[in-house]
Amino acid sequence: MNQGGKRPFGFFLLRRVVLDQDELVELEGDFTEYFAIRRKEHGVLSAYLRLWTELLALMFWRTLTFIRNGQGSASMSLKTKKRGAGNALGEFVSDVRFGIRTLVHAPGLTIVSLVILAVAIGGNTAIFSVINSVFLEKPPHVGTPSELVVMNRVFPDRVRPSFGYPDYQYYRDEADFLDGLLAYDGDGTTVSVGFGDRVQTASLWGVSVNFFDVLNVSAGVGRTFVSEEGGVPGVPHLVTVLSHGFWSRQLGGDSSVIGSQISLNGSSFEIVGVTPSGFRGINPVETPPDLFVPITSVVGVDPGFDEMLRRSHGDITTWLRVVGRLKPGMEFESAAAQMDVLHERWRLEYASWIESVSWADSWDVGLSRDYRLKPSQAAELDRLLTLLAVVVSVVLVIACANIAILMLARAVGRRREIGVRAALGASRTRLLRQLLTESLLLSVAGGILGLGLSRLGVDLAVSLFPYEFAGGLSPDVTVLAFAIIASVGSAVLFGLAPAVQLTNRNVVGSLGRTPGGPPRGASLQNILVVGQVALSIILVSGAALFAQSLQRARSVDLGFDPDFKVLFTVNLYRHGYDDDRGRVFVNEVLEALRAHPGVDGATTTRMVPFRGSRGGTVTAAGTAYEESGLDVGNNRVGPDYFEIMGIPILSGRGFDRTDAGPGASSVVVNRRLAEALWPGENAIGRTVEGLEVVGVAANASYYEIAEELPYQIYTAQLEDHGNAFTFVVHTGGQASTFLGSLQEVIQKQDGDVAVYRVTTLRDVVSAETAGFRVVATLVGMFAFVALFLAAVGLYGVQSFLVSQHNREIGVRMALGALREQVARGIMRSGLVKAVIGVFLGLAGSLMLGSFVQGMLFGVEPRDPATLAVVPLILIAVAVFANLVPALRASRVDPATVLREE
Amino acid sequence: MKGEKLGEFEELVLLAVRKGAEEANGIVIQRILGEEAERSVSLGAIYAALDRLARKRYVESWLGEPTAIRGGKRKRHYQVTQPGVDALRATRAVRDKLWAAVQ
Repeated sequence: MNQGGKRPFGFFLLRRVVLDQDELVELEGDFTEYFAIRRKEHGVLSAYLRLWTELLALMFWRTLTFIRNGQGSASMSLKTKKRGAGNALGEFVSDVRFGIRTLVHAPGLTIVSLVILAVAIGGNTAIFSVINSVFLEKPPHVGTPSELVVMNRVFPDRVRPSFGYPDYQYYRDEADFLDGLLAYDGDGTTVSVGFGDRVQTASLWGVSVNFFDVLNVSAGVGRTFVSEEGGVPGVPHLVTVLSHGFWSRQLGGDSSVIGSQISLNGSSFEIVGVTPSGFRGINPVETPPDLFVPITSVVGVDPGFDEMLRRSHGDITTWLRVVGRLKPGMEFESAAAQMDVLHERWRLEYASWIESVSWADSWDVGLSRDYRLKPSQAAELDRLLTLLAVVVSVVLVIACANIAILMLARAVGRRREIGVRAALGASRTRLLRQLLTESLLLSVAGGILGLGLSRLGVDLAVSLFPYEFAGGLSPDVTVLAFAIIASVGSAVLFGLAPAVQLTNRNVVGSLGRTPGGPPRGASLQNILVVGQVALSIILVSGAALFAQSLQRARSVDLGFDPDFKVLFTVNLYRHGYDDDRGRVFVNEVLEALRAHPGVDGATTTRMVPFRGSRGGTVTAAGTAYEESGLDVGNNRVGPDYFEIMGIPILSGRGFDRTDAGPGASSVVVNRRLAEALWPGENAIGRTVEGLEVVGVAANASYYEIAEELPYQIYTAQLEDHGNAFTFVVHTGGQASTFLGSLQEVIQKQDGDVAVYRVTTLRDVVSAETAGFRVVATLVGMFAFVALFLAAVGLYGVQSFLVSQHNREIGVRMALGALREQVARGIMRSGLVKAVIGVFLGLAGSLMLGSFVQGMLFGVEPRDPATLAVVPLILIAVAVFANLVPALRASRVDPATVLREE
Repeated sequence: MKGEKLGEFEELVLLAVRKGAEEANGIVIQRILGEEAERSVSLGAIYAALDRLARKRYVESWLGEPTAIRGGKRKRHYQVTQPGVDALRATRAVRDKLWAAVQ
């Protein structure tokens, strides 16, 4: 008839839950009907979810009924009786009942096992799923990402991903072997957005009008840009595409906003479309913006861009990332070769400019398939992902090892019971099946908990990321399956250990022991405890080292203090200022800023860290670089710059107001440059490029984090106002609260001077480090998970084994031992084992140290701090694990314990 | 009446069996409880309650004919027995008495 009667997937569960053939048939009927009705009313997904919930609930109720009544259901119990004992279903029932009782009987051990299983499965899956989705999977909504190639400028010693606008235009028009070439300003601009009567700040990217077309992304609502919108600014008119996140957060996801106007820094833009949900560009280490506008229209929000757009070919102020799409079927190598040819043509075309800038021909243009990353980050990420894989495996190994040890500990505690059952005639298969049932009960429960935890964990990890994930994010199925198989597998495998013992030992012999006395496997117990401590130390120290390594790799010392700094940029040259007028203006503005309430200081700088580079070649008489010259970064900075930025002056002085003015001849060099030019000597008073070195500043990051820090010279700002420069204001409080009021200072001085790129230094740094910082945090979480698992496992095993000595304790107390003596005795034996374990573990860590050395960064494999802290924590856990059962045991009434057998 | 206590949930299930007349099975009872008592209850809980009621002999059950929507499986129908009806009446009588006393 209809398809209503098809048996949905998942019914195999029923066979496990239900014990009787007739009942199975009925229930299967009920659930099939339920599924069919549900699907008709609510759709397939809802039907499946409900079905699985119902099945789990049924399992729960069945279990409850077992415990309460000792049987499955009313109808079933009759049938079981009829068939008599010994049938498989009846045995399964009693196995499950018995298993549940055993697990409940040792609640500590059971809870610990469940926690370890859940955290191992859930934690691993959650963290790995997020990283996988961000860094390894295709960028959402981007069509055929394998065809994308990124253009880089390749220098002999470094690779830069950025280009100037005129050069981009040249390549875009000439590279007919590509299916389109896009550009975007991934650093973004902060703008104030007005919609209706609401005003707030948002981030904005200037993108080429073909940005969405080359990426093959279609708008979620409305449309993307059309080519007419990329020409002269404002022709036909200014337009913007909103990010889905911004649209749903700030505009309530209202489709009727398409076609309406939105004000960006006071200019009116028409909203033409919204990106699809989850679109975040192609580079996971960039924070995607709230708004997109055509590059040429950025001038509408930021007049300084006018200059950027007009710069001549080959100008070294580069700010655009350029990405192309290969024509379908085109080989990457052939595109790369054609790009080389094109770059040669570019060289010929701009030969005169290249002539004038000696080092301008020192770069080639390279294509890279790794479109997701800046070149300097690709290698970094490779190492990071390797580390990550290692850490994930280590955590999983810790979990499996702990589960194994817990299961063995259980086995040690149950030798006598198994012996009794074997002696009473239980066959080996029968015992195996019972132990298997118990292990499975534990694993399945742990697996379900882990599944739930992975869901929660993914949500938590997602909330840490600055990204929007398309339609949420689910735990990664492969990792989940692997984690479940590994941990459940070890539970089942080691759960069978007691049964295996039966083959090579005289089981009945174990009956000869004093009932409940120190189990015969006392030596095995000791080995287990010592081994567990040792293993935990090796593995947790390893995980901690890797986590630290990652932290160090990313949290490289910036060399300056990014907090409490507001930045905004002006371009006096464009407003008709000459040097003299400019100097007066800047001095007046600086005075006004310093007088502003809440401001601690103000200065100027040509370059903002991570916002492009500027430099040249210097020579210095009497040094190794007298002839050849050295590539250095050059920044022009105002008075008090070093003090305000928090860059320490190591010797000499920074700039003060006397360095201002024409003819100023002082220069400050960074330590790296000083050491290169005058190794081992005092740099103060020497000359470089005819300028006198008055100070040596500490090294600071300028271009990219984790890159080798550059040679850097600083010259005094106030002798050149021909270019854009940035005011740095040191605020006494939260920098972002000053964003609006500080602009007014400039407006008061000269209402015509446009202020742009208003932001905080902290935001600039965050944008640079966002992606990696989060990964480092996640890996830190892994190490924490590892330590947690080791601690919980240690506690579980130790406290369980101590509790096995209850009878011995009872006897000793009956013979007159004092409570404190007993407790102390237990503590002592526990601690001796823990300490032996610690020493073995440390020895193991040292031995393995050389093995992992190559994988570490910025931290020694024999890092004393790690090797001290981890054992201390584990010893503390061991103390606690012995103390609790020792105290409990010493409070036991000896008579009760002795009567128990 | 054998002095067996009737729990509140059992009472609801029993009433639902009654309302469902001869059609009552787990799914029908679940729907009745959802619509009439506005309680969202899992099938497992209902089966457990039905088992308890069967053990107390308040409900009896028989197998019906296979149908297509059930994938050709037979369906177990439930019906309230006379002791079940008596138990429901007794519970109600107690409540009525108490209500009369408080009003």
